[in-house]
Amino acid sequence: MLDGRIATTDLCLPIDSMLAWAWMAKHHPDLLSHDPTRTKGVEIIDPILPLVKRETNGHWYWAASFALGEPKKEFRTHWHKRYDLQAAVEYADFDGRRGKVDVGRGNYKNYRMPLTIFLVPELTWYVVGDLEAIKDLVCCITSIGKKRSQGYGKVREWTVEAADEDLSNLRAIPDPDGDAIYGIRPPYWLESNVMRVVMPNDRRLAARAVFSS
Amino acid sequence: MNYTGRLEGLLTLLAPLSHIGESHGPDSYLDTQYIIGPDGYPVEIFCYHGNAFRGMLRDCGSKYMLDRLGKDGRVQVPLDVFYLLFSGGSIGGDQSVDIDQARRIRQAIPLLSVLGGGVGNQILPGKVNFGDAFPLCAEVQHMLPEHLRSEKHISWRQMTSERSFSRKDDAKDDNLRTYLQPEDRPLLEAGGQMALPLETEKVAKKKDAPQQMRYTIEVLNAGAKLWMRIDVRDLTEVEFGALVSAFDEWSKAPYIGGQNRIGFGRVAAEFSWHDVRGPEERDFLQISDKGRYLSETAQNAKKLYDEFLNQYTEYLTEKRDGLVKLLEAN
Repeated sequence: MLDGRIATTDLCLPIDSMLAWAWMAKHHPDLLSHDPTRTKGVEIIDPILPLVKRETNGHWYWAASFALGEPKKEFRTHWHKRYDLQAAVEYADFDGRRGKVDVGRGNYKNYRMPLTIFLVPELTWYVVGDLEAIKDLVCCITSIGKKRSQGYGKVREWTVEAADEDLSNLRAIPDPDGDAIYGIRPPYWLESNVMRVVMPNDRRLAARAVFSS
Repeated sequence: MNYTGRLEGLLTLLAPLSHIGESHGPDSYLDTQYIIGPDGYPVEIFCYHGNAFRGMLRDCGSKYMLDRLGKDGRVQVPLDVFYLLFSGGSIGGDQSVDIDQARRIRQAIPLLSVLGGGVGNQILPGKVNFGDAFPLCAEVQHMLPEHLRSEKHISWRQMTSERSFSRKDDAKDDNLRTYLQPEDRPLLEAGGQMALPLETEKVAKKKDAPQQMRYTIEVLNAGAKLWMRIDVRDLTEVEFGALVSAFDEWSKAPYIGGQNRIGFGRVAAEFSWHDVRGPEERDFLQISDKGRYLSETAQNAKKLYDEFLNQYTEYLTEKRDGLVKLLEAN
């Protein structure tokens, strides 16, 4: 990571989710960041990722781990949004009415929103797939986590190389007797992809810093 | 041709920079964040927020566009459209997605396509990520491009100072009291009627509130340099021109941070462009007291955007309602 700051709530940071974003940016940029369940006439697209598919208990998922790493610190910061009064004097047309804007509530409300940041120098993921195709996708990913447009989660560089061991199962695995509820494949927020899972209890996972605290 | 890559900027402070994080009473302190330092451990550092720079460029880009579209006079837009252009908008009602509308908005307002926003009842993602600007200091050596690294860089904590100001109560200045109406005299005549001063509880409370105060602002000193990185993804030529136009507008008054009214935050800026597919362009954009310089790439993109706006100006003169309807909520 460039400066180590990642805005995230759980540090799971599934790599298949990021690869799916990169695939959509390449093949369907118009649909990027759009919720298919609220889009008329658009079918849900399952990105065709260069990863092996696995299946457990009748549900499929990609052979891609959650993030492994050692968070050094957690802290809270804020981002702000304010109504631009100075520009409004010049450019807003109140249609002959008195120009009064309520910034305490409603559409034009000012915001001071908290944001949780984790400091992690380096993250590692394990996947089973096509190395060259994965390299081609990750080169488009310049930031990870939330609030990327505000500068958080900047990536210094990606290194994609063959690994000695397969740890791609260090991720949420579908299990009706599982003790957690989480997404199993991208988009992870899609209700139909969220179900009972078993979360791995491995100290190498960055998420352990959140779930074990 | 589409543009994907990054802009790397070096901002040189020509005046102190105020960018407040916390305030305690009348004293304000620089905003700091924790990052991973050169030794792999957390270190606290001042940074000028990428979100602040983004908001500022959004304002500049919108001003450039509206002033250009106005040609014979200033364009004023309805409140919803103003809020979208200058603050990023908001979304209301049941969220739904209209892909065709999103495409039309991106084509009609390239600046909005670049910076994104909440339009009607859908979110239009932007295509630019603005990183925080960090001072060139010991704490960020590992993050800087090689040509900016130096063992001689000092800690950012040695680049700050405190500036104190006095807010005077001019009513207590004997030289100015001649302009202050005594309390026992009637107000000026108006329309043949004499108005008498009426002291309400509110007026009495205001009179008792002290006007004089001493306040202190922690600043980053003039002469310090800040480095920032802006990632750009898949911009069309016109959209790239819209981004350049925002910088162009900013170059007319290149300030960052607060207290601009007293000259704080004035900068000189140099930006280089690093396309993922091509060689880097060192002198993409330069802003200094001598003026503004754009590289050939920047000039060509801006020219294309200006031509787009010029064509649209004629259309907009007749069909301004069409633009508003496109952007307003259903």
